[in-house]
Amino acid sequence: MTCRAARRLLPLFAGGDLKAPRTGAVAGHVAACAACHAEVEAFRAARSLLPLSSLSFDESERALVRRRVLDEIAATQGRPSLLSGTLLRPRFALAAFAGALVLAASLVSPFFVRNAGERVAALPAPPVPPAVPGPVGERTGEAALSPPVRSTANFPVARAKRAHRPPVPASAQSGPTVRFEIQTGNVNVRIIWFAGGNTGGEALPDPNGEPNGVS
Amino acid sequence: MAYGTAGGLTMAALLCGPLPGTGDANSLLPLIVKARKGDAEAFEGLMVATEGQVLKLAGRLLGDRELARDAAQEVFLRVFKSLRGFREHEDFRAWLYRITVNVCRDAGRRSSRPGPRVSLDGREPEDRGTPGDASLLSRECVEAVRSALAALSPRERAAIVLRDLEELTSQEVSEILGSRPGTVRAQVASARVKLRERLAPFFERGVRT
Repeated sequence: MTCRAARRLLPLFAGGDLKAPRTGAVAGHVAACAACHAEVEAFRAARSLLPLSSLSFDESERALVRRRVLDEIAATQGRPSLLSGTLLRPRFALAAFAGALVLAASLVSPFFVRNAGERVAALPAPPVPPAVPGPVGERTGEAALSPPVRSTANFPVARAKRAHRPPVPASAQSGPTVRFEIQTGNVNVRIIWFAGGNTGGEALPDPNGEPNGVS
Repeated sequence: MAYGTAGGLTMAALLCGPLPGTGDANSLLPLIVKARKGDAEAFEGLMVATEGQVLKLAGRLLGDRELARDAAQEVFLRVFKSLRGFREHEDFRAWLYRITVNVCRDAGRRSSRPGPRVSLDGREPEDRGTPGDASLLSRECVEAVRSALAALSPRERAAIVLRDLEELTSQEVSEILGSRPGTVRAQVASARVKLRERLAPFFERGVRT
């Protein structure tokens, strides 16, 4: 082994970090080469100085750390966490559930009201032929002056398509129907929601004589 | 070994001294099991048994007494929080050292100076570890060693501290640092070259403390 090859390995050799085959080769070279031998000794001497950098901690400092840790743990354990405390109390849990239900209903109700209105209105009426929007040039009056962002002529087509959905077969209409009633902030507006079953294609009447959907 | 009635401190007193090595690291297992169940005395005993090693390692990595104390506090809080995640077949010392290295890495990032703190006059209170009658030369040497360690990159410093000061094997160091053994050996070799260059004036003069 040459000095150049050995010197690359000397830092690891000095600390005993080389594997056996290389250790033997480097050891053989170091034994024969005074310069590389001195280099190994220098690495070992530097390594022997490292413990001087250590800090010592007396018992009072250790006890201080221990006390801080235990105090922190005690404070943490005494502090009610969000999940284990407030939210799990029955009163707050019920309020949270009711809030979530109202939120869900408020998100769903616009769609539900529109669909329910369509169903009630569409049932007695004959099938509506698909409307074809007229050419843009046929617009007259205010419609022609309105901004061309969204054509109002397309909306009846979408409604007509929904009205022509094929009826659900009676065999597929089964299961209990659950009725939800949500009283909104306005005393005149109550949301009634039938879910879980099928009404057989008919709007379920409200026992109080109120129409389905919003009363 | 009866420790249930005497409390964790008695048990810890029996376990004081260097942490067990890889082979019998889990002689702390009874304390770990009890601490997991919320036994405060057992956790205190676990701290007593290991705080010396944690403080020493943190001091070597950070080079600052106050930072090391804060780091040790953070280490034990993390240990307490994640003790349930410790698997019984794992080496507790390696697990603890991994947490310590990570905490010290974070602390080093947060502190204004990234490496170990050293004073310019060599008279900082951190020298309490050196003998009271140490000569000016040896005090210089202590400063030089700390400066040399501070000049290393954080990864090199962690590798050399764990390998040459904690005397762990390259394999153990690689597991703690989450690196390959080859990477650790390269970091150790690089650190030794830098330390050898910076400390040459002292060992060439034959300084020994």
